[in-house]
Amino acid sequence: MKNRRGYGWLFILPSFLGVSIFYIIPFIMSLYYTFTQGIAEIKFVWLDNFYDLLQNPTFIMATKNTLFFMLLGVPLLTISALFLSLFMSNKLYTFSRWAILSPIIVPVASALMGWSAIFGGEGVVNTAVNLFGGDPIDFFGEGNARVMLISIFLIKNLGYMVVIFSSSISSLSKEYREAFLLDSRSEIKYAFKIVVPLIMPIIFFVVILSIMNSFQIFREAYGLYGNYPPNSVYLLQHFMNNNFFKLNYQRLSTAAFILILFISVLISVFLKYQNKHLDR
Amino acid sequence: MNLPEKSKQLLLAAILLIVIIAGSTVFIFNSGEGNEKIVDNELASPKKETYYVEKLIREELGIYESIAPIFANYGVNIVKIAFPQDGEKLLSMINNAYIMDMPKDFFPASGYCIDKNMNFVTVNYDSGNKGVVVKAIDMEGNMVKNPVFLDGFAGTVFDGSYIKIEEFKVDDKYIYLLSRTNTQPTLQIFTREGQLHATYPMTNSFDVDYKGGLFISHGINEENKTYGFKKIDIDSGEVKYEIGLKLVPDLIRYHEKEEKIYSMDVEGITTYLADDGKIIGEIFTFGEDSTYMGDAYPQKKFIVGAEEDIYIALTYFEEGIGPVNLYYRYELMEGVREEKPVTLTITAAYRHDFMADAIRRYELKYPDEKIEYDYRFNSRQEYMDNSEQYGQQLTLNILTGDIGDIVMTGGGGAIYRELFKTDAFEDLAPLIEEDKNYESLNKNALEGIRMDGTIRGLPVSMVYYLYEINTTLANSIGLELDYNDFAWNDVLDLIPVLEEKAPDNYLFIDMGEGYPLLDILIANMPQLIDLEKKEVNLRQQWFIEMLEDYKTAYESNNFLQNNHQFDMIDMLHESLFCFRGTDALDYRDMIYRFMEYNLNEERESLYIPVFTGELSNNRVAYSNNMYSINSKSQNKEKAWKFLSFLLEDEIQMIRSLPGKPINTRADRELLENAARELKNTYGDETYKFVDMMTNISEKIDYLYDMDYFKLDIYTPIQRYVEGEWILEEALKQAEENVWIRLHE
Repeated sequence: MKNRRGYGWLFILPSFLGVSIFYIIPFIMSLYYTFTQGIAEIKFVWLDNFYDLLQNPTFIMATKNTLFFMLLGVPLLTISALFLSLFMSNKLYTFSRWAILSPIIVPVASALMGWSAIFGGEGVVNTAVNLFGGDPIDFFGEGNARVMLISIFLIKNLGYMVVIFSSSISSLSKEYREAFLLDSRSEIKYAFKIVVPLIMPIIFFVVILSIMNSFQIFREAYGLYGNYPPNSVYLLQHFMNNNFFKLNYQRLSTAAFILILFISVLISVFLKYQNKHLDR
Repeated sequence: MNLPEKSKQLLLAAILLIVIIAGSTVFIFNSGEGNEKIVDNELASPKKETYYVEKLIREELGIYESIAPIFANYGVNIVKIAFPQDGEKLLSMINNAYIMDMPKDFFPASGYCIDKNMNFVTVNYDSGNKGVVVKAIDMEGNMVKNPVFLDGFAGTVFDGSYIKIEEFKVDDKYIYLLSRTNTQPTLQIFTREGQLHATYPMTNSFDVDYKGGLFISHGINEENKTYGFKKIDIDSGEVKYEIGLKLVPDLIRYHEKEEKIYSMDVEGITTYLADDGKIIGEIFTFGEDSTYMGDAYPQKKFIVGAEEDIYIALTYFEEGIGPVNLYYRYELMEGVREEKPVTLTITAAYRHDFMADAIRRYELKYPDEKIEYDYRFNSRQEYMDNSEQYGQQLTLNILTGDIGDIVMTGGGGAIYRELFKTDAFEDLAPLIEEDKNYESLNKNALEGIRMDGTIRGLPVSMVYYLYEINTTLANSIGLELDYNDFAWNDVLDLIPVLEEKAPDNYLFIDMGEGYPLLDILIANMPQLIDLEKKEVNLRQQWFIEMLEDYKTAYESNNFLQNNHQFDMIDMLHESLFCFRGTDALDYRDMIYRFMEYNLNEERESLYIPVFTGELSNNRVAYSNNMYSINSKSQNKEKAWKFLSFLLEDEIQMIRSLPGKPINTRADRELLENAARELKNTYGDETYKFVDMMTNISEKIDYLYDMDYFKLDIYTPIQRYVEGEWILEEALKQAEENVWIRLHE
């Protein structure tokens, strides 16, 4: 009998090579920057960059903002997507599904134009407000920036998560439902006592995916505000981006490394919890 | 309406298609509209690969004949008059050989030409008859026609005995005379009977196509708002087309066989189709095709031969010898000139004429050197449209080392203050301080970019600002302050005075978005933001009071005049102050405008330094022409050699220098040259301008206009000024904006 143990490596080799060349190796190279300073004359500074960064007030603010966004946006997204999926699970709702999914196919710039057209200074909402004699609302200003960004994040990603949840819900065996209906007619109880536990791995997956996507909201923030948004939505990526322009690659790499470390720890914790939960 | 699914999809697709087609149609039909007369000068046809090979044909020393460097067509030959000891002779410029002796009665004291019938036509001033006379003789010296006296000659008769003719031509119908006056040359067209047909003042050069077409090149004047040339129908005077140019076209020539126009300016010769003025391309470049630069010899004549070979005569004066005339012939060659190996690379955001010119001069001086000018965009405007992307690319290139030995760090893509915090570029301070031109450099400007004791960029030129004050208005309202020491608070205090004593006048003329608030912020910024300690404090009492005063002034009807038409001369428009920069205009233009404004007896103005901050002077300039040496370059010595070359007087005085020289000696010379040139027109008053500008440039404190910090503060403060926010809100937002940028 042929030993096929190495075949798996052969199959993943092409994409692994690509990931190595364009992600892993550059990451290792950027690790080098975290322990050095200077561009022409490189000096080895051990952990000075980490020490400076962790004391940097802008980095601290960016971290807080990013964490806040993640801690608020991810649960909101997950719960909203789950709720909608459960609600739409028995019916087709073609148009609704299409409407929820459509934001993900719209390019970022076009989507932002749409948001500006509705909520901008001279957008539809403010025009209506003016018509009724009210003062214009600065939806994208400091006071409302977080709410707007989270709304954009939710609307953009809701459809995708709904699709994931819906497909997992629809793949559940009908016998579970039939068995449950023998004891109770409550859809809510069915959802939370049967469906949710059964699709828990998917929920974990959606949470992880949402965390990843929460970092991608930087594109929308950059598109709306440029390099320097209102302080409440100044994210880690802004910090790293701006340090890139200042040629401060060491600080950028250090921040990136800390971020990756944090995400790795977070996902490891999630996976461990998920494995524990599944083992039960 | 309940349509089937497929029908809905078809309907949607149809609507989408209609929208796309309609939009494309509108776009296509709306593009490409323009003025027919002023031709949109796209390339007429792809430029051939050609170059010229230079040959010095002849050198004449001490020939005091003004007609010596005049070229003419003699059949297919290019000729000129030579003055050997045995008499005047006609000389072929193709082989430097005499063709014939000139006829005895040939007397071209002021000018001559050769007509289509190979007759020699001369023009002179007849002091006996007190008139300008044109005579034509054939090769044997026989008078072809009776001499013609020109009626209505507009040129200047110098000392009552001679005239100065720049260019002279005749055809079957007309006599064309470009003659010197006390100001600018004037072109006049006379009939063959001597009657004045047309006059074109302020003409630089002209030529005719012998088919009724006249080509005139001109500078900026009352009639012409741009440099350029035009084609005119001689009989009717109708302008067939006008072409605007970037540089003053000194000389213009028509080539009959090729039906092309050749326009020569200080950079070289460019060709255009004679029929419609469409540009063909630059065929000759001084410094590349020639061993000298275009401005090395201001007195030039040129002609184009039958095979597009070019003949150029240069005249200069040498002590002890007198006039020296050099005659060059340039033979057109197909293909590309052999390139030398590159010894130095300059990375820049966009091509600037100044740098291209400086590189040519450097390569002429050091023939073994070859500089590659690696620019991303062809013009500053193109760069400005893409500056953000270019900035990102430049940053990446610096990281990867994909930049030249010299990099444009000021005015080209990145915030130099951030770049200079790193060691990506060499510390030039020791090199600058040891440079032979160091003593004449503007030290304040250099100090302005010193960071942590290092200077990592060399500002080759700088832009600084000034105000024009309407002294007539100032006197009428009883203003008695030292104009050289105005603080912004003093200025804002003038509003109530204007409201009372001159209610129809204004404090400022509209200077564009953001001003004068931006100017106020720049003047006070160092006291508001400490870049070293990374501290910002906008709540200082003096600053708060200033903002409140500014808001009060802003709300006054006498604050800003923004309803006016553009007037090149009167930019004050009955306002007290007008903000000006030194980037767009050269000193000649500035003197011209200043003198023209002040010629009117009812008005008077002065140029004064920008207003100072509350606690310190803080008069800033900025450099959009700064270069640094790549720390990883293998050619640092050569790189500095080139940068040092850029500081020399000759280079600092190149006309295309953006802004004003960092070399104060060169700056002074430019000012004095400009004043001297216009002294004939305006008298010694032009030197007043020299004193004013020297005073202003000496008061510059440093070379940093606070780039984005001023915008961080400006945007919320402007909202306060316009009543959208209260002051506390605005200050809080401004501080937050600055705080992030300071601490990143």
